[in-house]
Amino acid sequence: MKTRFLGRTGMKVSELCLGTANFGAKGVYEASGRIEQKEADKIISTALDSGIIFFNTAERYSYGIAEEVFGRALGKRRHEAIIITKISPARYPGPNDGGLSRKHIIEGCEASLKRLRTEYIDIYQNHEYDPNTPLEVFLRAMDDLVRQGKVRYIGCSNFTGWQLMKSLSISDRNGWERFSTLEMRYSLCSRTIENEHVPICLDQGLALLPWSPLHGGYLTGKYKRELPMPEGARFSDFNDKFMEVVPEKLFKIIEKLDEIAGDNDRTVSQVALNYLIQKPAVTSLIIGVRNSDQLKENIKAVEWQMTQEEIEALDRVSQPQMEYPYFVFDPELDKYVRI
Amino acid sequence: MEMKTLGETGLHVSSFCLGTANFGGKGEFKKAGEISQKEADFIVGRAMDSGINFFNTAEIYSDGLSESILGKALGKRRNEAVVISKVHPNTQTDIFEKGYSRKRIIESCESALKRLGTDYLDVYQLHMFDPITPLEVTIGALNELVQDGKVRYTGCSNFTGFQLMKALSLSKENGWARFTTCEAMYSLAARWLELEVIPACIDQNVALLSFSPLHGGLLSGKYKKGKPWPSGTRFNDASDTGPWSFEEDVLYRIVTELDSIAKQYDVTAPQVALRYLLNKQGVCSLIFGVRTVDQLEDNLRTMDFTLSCEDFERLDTVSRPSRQYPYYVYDPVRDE
Repeated sequence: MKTRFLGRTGMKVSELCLGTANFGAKGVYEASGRIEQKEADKIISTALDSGIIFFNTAERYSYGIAEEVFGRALGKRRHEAIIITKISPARYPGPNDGGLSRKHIIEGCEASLKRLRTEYIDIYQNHEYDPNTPLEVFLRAMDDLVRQGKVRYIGCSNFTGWQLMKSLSISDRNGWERFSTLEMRYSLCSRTIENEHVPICLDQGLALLPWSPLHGGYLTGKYKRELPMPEGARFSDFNDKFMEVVPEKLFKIIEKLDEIAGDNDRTVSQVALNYLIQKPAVTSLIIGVRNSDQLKENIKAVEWQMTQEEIEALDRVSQPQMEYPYFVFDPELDKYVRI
Repeated sequence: MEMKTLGETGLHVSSFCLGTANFGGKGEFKKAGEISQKEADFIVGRAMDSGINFFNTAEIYSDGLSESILGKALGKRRNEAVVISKVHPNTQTDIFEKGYSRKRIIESCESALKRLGTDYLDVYQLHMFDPITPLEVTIGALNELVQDGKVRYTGCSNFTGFQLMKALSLSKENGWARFTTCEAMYSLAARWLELEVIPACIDQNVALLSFSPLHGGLLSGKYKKGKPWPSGTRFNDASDTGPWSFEEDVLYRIVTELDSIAKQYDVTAPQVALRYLLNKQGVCSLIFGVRTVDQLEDNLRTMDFTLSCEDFERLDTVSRPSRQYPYYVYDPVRDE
């Protein structure tokens, strides 16, 4: 497994990052299966043995159960791993058990450390924006955690572009620790973040960590024009309100993936992941698996490299709608920019 | 005339701003119109008499001719007016003269002042982002223009949320004059700005100035479902509307709703479209150009009525851009 530098942290991580949203899954997180402790142990040791040293969890995942299962699975190999966990946005069960207040950041972090059975978190991220807490309060509390040694670096998830840029400037202006990572949904089916977030990552030196790189399973090859809806899969139709799937566009992407997969003797998923790992700013792909066999299959996704022509063909077929102010306003100017 | 405070400037401007892209009509801008000096004198005079004190031009409009015509038309009434002009990164043919170097910013401003026949610009804006020149250089140069008294305030146009926020932060860090305006395409037919730029403007108290509030004329009531494409407009046909992109279904749904609401209030569809936009959060002033004084008078009638909350909602619903990540709250449990 190849490694890459993680933004400006000086730290290296594997090209794949194992997501743990389905570890001990309860409630909404059961949608992608439930990994019991025994299976989790096996997945984590397979990951580490294969060179995957990067792991992603969150206090929000089944209200701490994912962190507990993951912490136990990691056990004595904690120091081999780079761990991300995230502050919950949901103010539940109590009104302050979530959100980006100083109170919840400090208490949430301490609870995560306990569940993860560790003394430090490598990267501590917010899970979402909290419109009810000033960014200064949130960022100052995060900086304190870094100074206390509980957290090594901080990162961000699911912000809009201007929220992210504002946060970075506040940290810089105050001499506080700034975000090193940005975790966002990014895949062939979801490229909106190329408008704002990718340019920010490139400009500001942030590591982009895509979640749902297979778009919740839509890019696995199970969903095809000529096939009935797959059984036992996460989605039974194309109407999930969060996934924003346009069936016709999805089928075109799948057909192109299929073609490239055939040419390279790879699977559709492997091609979709390989495409994404080569995109600008992308550092590591967060993947979830149902068992260690799936993990082994996914590892093969980063053991080869598709050609520039293949990347461009996939770019074209998955091109998002370019709305103002994101299209090229002045073709002449565009030429000047590209010299 | 409804007056607004212009962001953090302390200035008061009219909620209509007269655009001058059709003054002159040279080169590319011929499509926008060919308003002569005499016509411009008349339009500008009537605008000012109606309470419009806000004017928008740019060096790129007809190679500076628009600025010259506006300057002459304002004449002795210049001090009653708040004038915006814009520096463009691509007016020069020589590659070394492109972009927003300190040299270009200073020289462009001096030329604009000469053409406008004035010794100060009220607001000097960047026409669009220049990805090559570091923002520090550009904003530093703009700040100097403010210190030298050539420019009173600075602003930007066509920036993304990230670019706007970065520019504002740089100014703050360095104690420089910060952008007080953001000029951007915004209308019922183009609401993508609500995802990034408008929240940033509201948060940072930057005045949003909407250009193309009738989406290049597509919301003027001339374009109707099942009717032939009108002639004598700036577009040859539906496939060639340039930056004023649209989806037919959505556009016609909006137009139908505008027509039906217009009837209720006994006004025109474009008046309803402008009224809607004036009521939107974050919007300071609407920029539009007119070909005749009659068009100006028509638009001014927008000030004579208000939309009920219900009708505003109807328009808001029919024109809402499709939902896309990351522009909604994602938490599944919270959403349930």
